Amino acid sequence: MIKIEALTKSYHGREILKNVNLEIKEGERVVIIGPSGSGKSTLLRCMAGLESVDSGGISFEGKDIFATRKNRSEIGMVFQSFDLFPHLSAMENIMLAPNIVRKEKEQAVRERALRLLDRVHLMEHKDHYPEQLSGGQQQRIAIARALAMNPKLMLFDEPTSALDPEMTGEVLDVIGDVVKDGMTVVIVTHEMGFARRVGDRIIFMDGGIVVEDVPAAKLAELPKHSRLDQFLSQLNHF
Amino acid sequence: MEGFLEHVNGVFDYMTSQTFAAAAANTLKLTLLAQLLGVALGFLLALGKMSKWSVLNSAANGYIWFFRGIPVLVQLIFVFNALPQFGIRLSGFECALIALALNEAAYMAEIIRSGLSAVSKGQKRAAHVLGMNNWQTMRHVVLPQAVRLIVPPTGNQFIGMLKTSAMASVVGYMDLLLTAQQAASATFNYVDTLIAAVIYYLVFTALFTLLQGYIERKMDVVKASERKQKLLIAKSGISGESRSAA
Ligand SMILES: Nc1ncnc2c1ncn2[C@@H]1O[C@H](COP(=O)(O)OP(=O)(O)OP(=O)(O)O)[C@@H](O)[C@H]1O
Ligand SMILES: [Mg+2]
Repeated sequence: MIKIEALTKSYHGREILKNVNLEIKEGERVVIIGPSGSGKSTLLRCMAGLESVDSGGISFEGKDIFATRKNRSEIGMVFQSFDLFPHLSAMENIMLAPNIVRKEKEQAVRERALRLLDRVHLMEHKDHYPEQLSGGQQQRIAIARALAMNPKLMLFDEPTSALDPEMTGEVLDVIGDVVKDGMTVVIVTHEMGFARRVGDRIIFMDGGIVVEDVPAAKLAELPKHSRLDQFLSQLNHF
Repeated sequence: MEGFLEHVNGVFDYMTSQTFAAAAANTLKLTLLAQLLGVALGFLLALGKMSKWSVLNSAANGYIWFFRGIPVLVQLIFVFNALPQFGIRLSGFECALIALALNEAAYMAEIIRSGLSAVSKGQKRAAHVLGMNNWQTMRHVVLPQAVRLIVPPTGNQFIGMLKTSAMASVVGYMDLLLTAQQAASATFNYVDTLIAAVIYYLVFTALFTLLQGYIERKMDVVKASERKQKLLIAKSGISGESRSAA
């Protein structure tokens, strides 16, 4: 579905992604883990077409995502910081892009928005503005907003790390539902319990390269003292 | 007491005279147009200041430095007296409009820039992933939020412009001040003529201030929605929760 080939990206002359190769098939649930600064967010931003790359390429369903906006229009992304539009209500946040980008019929957009609000369990908050919502609620609206564009691939960059612990559950549940419906997803997270539950493929990044790429089921059989093994045991310590 | 009433009558007569009404309209016309042009040009300058091309940055900064550094009165007199030497002959109104608008743009640029840059990078990023192009992001995400920050200081600029517009009297534009002065030079009644002009200025300022407050309230969507919710709750008689977590 999405194919990353020999991707290199640097900021101010410092290489952040070094020759990343990755192919993700339809229906896969990929979890990316790795230490801070390893390039996970940068990789996701490249996959969403938000960053220009130095060399290499990314194609989505065979088409270069950097060529036109249309080629990446079925890739959705949710960020750590929610980034809802504060001047619009929850419902309006969800409806904006289908209205102005796809120019869909108002009624169809409205119906889909209501369905999505129901799906993220926030129907009663549809007319509330972001500042009237908790972090967990904002993130669920952000997920609904991304889903409103009918993406085929969803990228989640640490969707719960800006949240108070008591709100991570509600957001992870919503992501779990999206995954259950068969969405192809790439999730960057430090929530290893969640990663094992929903992920079927674990990618470990370190220093801008993909160090490990293993089926989730094999995670337990990793050779001791591999870098991934060390990283996981460090996570457990915190 | 009799003297006082006489002045009241005098001021009233001037204020309601056709020349003063026309002068008030002239002042208003110049103020509105100069501010409007200043905002439009200021918007372009703000975009220049925020552009990633350093040529545009320098051009915008150079403009702002130039026009903020020269007294408006000097700019006005330059346009009026010096441009004819280059064969450019403009009316008093045109001179005043150009000088005031060019000067105002330098101040509006900074106001608009800070409004535009208050919108987080994250929101622009989210808009782009949702497929919006730069113009759609500007129009539907950045501008609606920036306008809320830009309106209050622009209101103050506008009231400032009303007063600065009196400078147009030195280039022969028949605004409130010049009209009052001409009326006075005929009758030597400086008190009544100037007070008539002053009252017009004060009334306009009061009206602009009211308008500004009205627009600001209209734009505060969250407060407006809270007011609406309170109203609904009050109507239904339930003191229900309106903003607690699910
Ligand atoms: N816009 C940018 N400009 C300059 N440097 C950047 C930028 N974005 C990221 N970097 C640098 O690139 C490196 C990788 O950043 P990235 O955010 O991709 O890491 P990450 O794996 O997501 O880390 P974390 O777990 O902390 O989110 C970091 O060293 C960071 O400082
Ligand atoms: Mg990151």
